[in-house]
Amino acid sequence: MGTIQRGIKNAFRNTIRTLSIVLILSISFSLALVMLLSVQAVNKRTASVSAAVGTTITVTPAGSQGFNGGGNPLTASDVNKIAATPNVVSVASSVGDRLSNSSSSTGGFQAGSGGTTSLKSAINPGSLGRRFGGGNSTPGFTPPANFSLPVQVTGTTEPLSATVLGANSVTLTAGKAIDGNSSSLVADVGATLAKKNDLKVGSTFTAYDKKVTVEGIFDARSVFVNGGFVMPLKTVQNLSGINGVTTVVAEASSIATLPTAASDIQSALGTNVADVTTGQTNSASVVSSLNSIKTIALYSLIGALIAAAVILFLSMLMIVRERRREIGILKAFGSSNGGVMRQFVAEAMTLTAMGALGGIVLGVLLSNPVLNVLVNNTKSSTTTNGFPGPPRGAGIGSPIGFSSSTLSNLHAAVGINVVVFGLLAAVLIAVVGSAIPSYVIAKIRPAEVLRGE
Amino acid sequence: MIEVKGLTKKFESGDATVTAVNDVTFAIDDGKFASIIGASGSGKSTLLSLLGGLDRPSEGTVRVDELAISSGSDKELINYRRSKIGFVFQAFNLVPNLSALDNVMLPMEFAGVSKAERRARAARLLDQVGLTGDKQLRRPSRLSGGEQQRVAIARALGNHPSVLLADEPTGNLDSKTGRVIVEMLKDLSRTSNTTVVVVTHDQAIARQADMTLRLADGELVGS
Repeated sequence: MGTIQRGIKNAFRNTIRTLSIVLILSISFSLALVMLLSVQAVNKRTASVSAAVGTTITVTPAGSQGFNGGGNPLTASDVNKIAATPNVVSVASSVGDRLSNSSSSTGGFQAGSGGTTSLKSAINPGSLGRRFGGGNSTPGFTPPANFSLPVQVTGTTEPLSATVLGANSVTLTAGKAIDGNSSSLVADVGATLAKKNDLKVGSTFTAYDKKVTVEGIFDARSVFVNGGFVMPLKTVQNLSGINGVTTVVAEASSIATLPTAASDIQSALGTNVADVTTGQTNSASVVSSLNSIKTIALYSLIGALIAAAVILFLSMLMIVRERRREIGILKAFGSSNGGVMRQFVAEAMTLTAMGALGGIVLGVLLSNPVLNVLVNNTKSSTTTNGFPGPPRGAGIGSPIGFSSSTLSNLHAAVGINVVVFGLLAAVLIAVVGSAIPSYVIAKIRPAEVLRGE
Repeated sequence: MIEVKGLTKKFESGDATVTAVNDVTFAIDDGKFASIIGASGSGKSTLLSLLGGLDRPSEGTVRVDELAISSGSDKELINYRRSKIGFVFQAFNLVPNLSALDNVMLPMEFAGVSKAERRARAARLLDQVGLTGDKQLRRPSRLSGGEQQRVAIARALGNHPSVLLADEPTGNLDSKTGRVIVEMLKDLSRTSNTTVVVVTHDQAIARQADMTLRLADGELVGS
């Protein structure tokens, strides 16, 4: 029987004590594992939230929201100020307008410059369309037979920009993108609008009483965006008579600089000129909540590992002191200090390995329930403080929103890195927890521990 | 041969210094059966610890087979205990969760003897001291006091030591078993030229020794 085997055998010398140590270590390790998994789950979610927020800053005239509210268009000077703001890397301007179909009724509500188009809206009005389109949503109201929603036109320097159009993605399905900096009578048309009006690349339609040529057809995977069309910024400005822009989408250099850039833009333009919004406003609460969970989990992880180390250290200290005489015997018969230490490290490793095994089983079983408890507590405090609602829309669409489901859907998963980390922590704890007390005892001369003869 | 010159060992006990062994000088030839006698607290066990390299003297020298163990490094002392010395204690000091066979194999493991060789040698030694059959596989708690001391003697002989140091080897045994153990030790010195040094307060054992060292208050008062 070698030193290591003797150490392993010694781990089972006192069944009750062994079970007690293993049980306590299992609980500590499971808590550490649960917290490690929680930290990883939170990190993953924080990364996805940050990625979803992006670095977009939306600037609209003060008081306006889509076609609601009022205010004056942002001027070229305003756009230049936005572009000159530190940490702003790009700027895309757009102007939105709504065109009524020349042969249909909008129920008396235009909500635009008054321009007309030959295009028929591809969007089903529904009850909301009748309400916002100037119709009557009261029961029994029958819209005119030729009722149709106005058609959205966006003039922009970035024709197929998803952020300008307010979509998640924009794909050109036919033709080409128009030149947003030109003043040509050309358009890229949304897929459903093109289908409704039987438009193809090269087809023409009228807008503002001008003949416009279709250069491309896009799919934005949004019924609303696909129901509109895009023209060069200057063209729409000229035709609509809107002297300026209704939306500026700026990109900050990073997530970190996003709040500062937004704040600087707001300061540069003034609150009476522009409303500045970012996804960050809404995501901040979610990220803050995630960070709270992460902080709790990290402290608990460290605490659990320290607890495991202390438990093992004290247990081994007790065991080593109890076996002083045995250490003296081993040394009297020629064991080196290193040999004594190796035996106790092997014993501690055996106890720790059993504790780690129990901890992994418990940890896997408890990780998701514990994470849910953490999340629910955090959600409660977040709700109490006023969890923000969906962000305000700007331009055609609206930025991505976050809700409490961002927290609810956290899931802990055991990966190989977690197992490796756990094993390393267990080995470190076992070595430190046993080597120190056995080294202290092994340094004593054998006669001192055998003197009780 | 064991040569001891001016050996002194002092301990700090609170504010006082206790001299457990005081300027002791003697020599024991190879293969002799020597006894160290004296009253309780006379320094017998401390002297034995110094001879066995379990402790370091405050002053003086101990040479065993020309090896100066009193000034040896820790590593030299470990090697000395592995190869030259065998210990037998009053309380047997067997490792409780190891079988008799494993206990005897223990010093051989430290000396680097192969597993097969130490198993065979341990079984042979246990046979020699009269512990045979399944008793060799029993744990110490399932052996009588005399049997445990036989295991301890077999363990002490594992690495063919030139010196066997026994501290009150019959102290925990009945008189009959004690006599058997003393005979065994005497036999060992005669047959294998092993120097046996027995610490005892039993005059009967001392009378059987080739030489007797008498200690009183740490000083050698007769031999």
